[in-house]
Amino acid sequence: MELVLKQVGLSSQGFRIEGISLTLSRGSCGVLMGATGEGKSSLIEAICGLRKIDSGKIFLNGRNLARVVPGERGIGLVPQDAVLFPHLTVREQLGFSSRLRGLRGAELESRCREVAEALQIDHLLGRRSIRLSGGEAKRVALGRALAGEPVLLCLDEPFAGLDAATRGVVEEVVAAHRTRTESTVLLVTHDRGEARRLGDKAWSLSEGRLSRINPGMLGEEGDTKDTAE
Amino acid sequence: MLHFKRILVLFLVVLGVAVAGLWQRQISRDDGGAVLLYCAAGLQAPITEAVAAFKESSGERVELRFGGSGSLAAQLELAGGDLYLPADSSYLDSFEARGMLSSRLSLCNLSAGIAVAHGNPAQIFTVEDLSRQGLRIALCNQSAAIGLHLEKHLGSDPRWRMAVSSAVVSMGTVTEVAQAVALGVVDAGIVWDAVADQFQEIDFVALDDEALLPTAQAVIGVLAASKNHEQAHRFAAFLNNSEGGGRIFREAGYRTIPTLDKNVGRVGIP
Amino acid sequence: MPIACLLTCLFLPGVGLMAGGYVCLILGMLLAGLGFVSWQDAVDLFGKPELRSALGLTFLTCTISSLMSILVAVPAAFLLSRGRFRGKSALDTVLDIPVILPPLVVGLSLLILFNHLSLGEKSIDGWLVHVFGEGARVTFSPVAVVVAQFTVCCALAIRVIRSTMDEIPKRQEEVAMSLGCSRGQAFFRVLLPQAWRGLLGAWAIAWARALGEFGPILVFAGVTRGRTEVLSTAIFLEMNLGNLRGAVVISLVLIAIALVVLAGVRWLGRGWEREEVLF
Repeated sequence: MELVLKQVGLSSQGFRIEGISLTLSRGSCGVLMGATGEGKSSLIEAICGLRKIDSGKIFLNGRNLARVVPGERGIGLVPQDAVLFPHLTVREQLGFSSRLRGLRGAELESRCREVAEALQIDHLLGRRSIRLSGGEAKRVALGRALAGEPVLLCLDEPFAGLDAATRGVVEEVVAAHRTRTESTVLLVTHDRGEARRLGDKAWSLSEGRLSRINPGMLGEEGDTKDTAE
Repeated sequence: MLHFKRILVLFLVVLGVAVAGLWQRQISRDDGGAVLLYCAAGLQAPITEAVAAFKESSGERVELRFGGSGSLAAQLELAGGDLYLPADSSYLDSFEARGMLSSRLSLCNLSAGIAVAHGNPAQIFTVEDLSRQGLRIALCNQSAAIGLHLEKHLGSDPRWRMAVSSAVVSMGTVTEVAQAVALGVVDAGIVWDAVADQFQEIDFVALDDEALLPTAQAVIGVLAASKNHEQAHRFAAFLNNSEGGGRIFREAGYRTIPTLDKNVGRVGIP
Repeated sequence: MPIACLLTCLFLPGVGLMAGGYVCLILGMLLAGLGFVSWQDAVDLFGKPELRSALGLTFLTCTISSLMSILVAVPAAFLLSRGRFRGKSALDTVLDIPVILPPLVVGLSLLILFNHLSLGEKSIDGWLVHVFGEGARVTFSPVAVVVAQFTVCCALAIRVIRSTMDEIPKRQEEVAMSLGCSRGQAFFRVLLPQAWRGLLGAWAIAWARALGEFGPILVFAGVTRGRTEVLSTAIFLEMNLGNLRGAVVISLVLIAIALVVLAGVRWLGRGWEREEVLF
């Protein structure tokens, strides 16, 4: 679905961003880059409806999201720090949004298993999330968002802290989801290689301003985290 | 999450059952026609007995509410009632001054004396003994009737002044003083004879000296705001009667005063 | 650095001595109480029907007031923990009042509230009696015991539940909302199940506090034997009767009940924790 931001401004402790405009067409992948503390995560939260914007408008597939509650925006969020629910098992997390939409019993189970198998976490289904490693938690968070079949997937540093093999699995799953549902992806990352590989469009957020960059022009040197900070 | 509904159900069931149980008690009062007496907790024993005797002889009921005289005064002023029996008649004075009493009746005489531990191990027999070195003495301050009373009658007596200056603790009610003596916290305290009688751990030393033997009266007041004046008054008269309440008071160790034919001190007409 | 070394060496014994001394004080109190009475005293005391009635009323009122406290405290704590609104700190202060006020003042204030604040031509109690009949009068009735306990216990429960909710990241509810929850669903499916242990703790504290509540009950519910008498006020009556042994027996019973409740809740909470860790 098409994501359009028009002159969006928001502020929080420590930063202020304004005049953000971008268009991300249906089925494409946009990459948001920039140093830590510039407000990338806040912008994503604003798109998801978890944070109020001071000015501007956000449209998803032509619909103004101003009065749409987070749960009805059809956006899947994978936060940087996973934010799993410690009282639930992996199975319950994966089935969280499906359950809310009334899926029960065998249907629910097969949905959870499908997602878990794709992400190779099916052996963890019965485990509680406080017993998961960082990489496992990330995959559960992604699976939890994907299981809700979002039209827009917001990924905040989804690959940070993953080993190469797992990273491949995750990239593959995200790509498969995109082709299958024609959903749009908004990716926040520090990694130039990742941005170049996955991004159709790329922006850099710096000092409260958004500037368009060409993902193809990004160098191979990988993580820019150090230089960015 | 699975347990959530079950816990909620359990929560509501327990709450419901408890509320039902409480409601049962709430509505089970059969106090139709009962008059309400606010009674100093120290007089609980004889008054409870007298209420039972009154019900037996007349069929009329009296509901008792116990507490400290001061807090009872606040309660009856705010929530209303029929009769007030404070530990100390001074509480009635302020009510009378404000026109809130319709009549008052004396019930018994109280004598102040020295409470000592059973067997009198410290050998205390006179007021002079109280100022002996090393003794721990408890007195009532003037917020209690006995404190006020003693100060009025003995305030200028040098022997009493000596005793007061050697007191280690000053308490708000005479019952607290008796408890302190009973628990061995202090060696002696000044209490009413009738209060001392309630504690088996206490011996009462009456004072021979006439000048040191002040007496006071326990007085019950009928409240002007009473909705059932006649019945309230009948109970007060029953307590005042030497064959009714008087007998119970005497048996409990109080010295009753002769029954009065007429209600002395009556300040209003019911 | 001999002084530093000395301090280091003395640290553990010093800490142990201080904590141990306090524990000895508590245990000493209990043992002295136990030594003061005999089994026969207990048998005599609970042979009285008024005392058995007081015991029953104590259980009923503590249960009701603690459960009602939880019922009210959960939304209030949620508001304080998650809400951002004008006057929040003022609200916070108001909620401390019942805990800070001298107990007798709580009772007196309730007495005035129900009997002297006029709503139209009647007081609250006046209206209750007018509409529902004499049985609905609150002042000096068993219901007044619950009201008095609830007034104080609820404030405590709010404190405990709020601190539990403050420890649970708000982000979890936000993520739940992005996954399709309404605010209410996020509360019931994500926040409440995690605040569970805090709720249990709050309930236990409220229950134990209700058990020991005395001043407000004395003033607002009055002490009528067999009707509004609970264990805490029974102690007061027995002491005034000169029955010190009886008073101590009731005190020990109170301590025993409180210990059982607190230990039971601790055990339940532990079970929950173990389940989480072992899974």
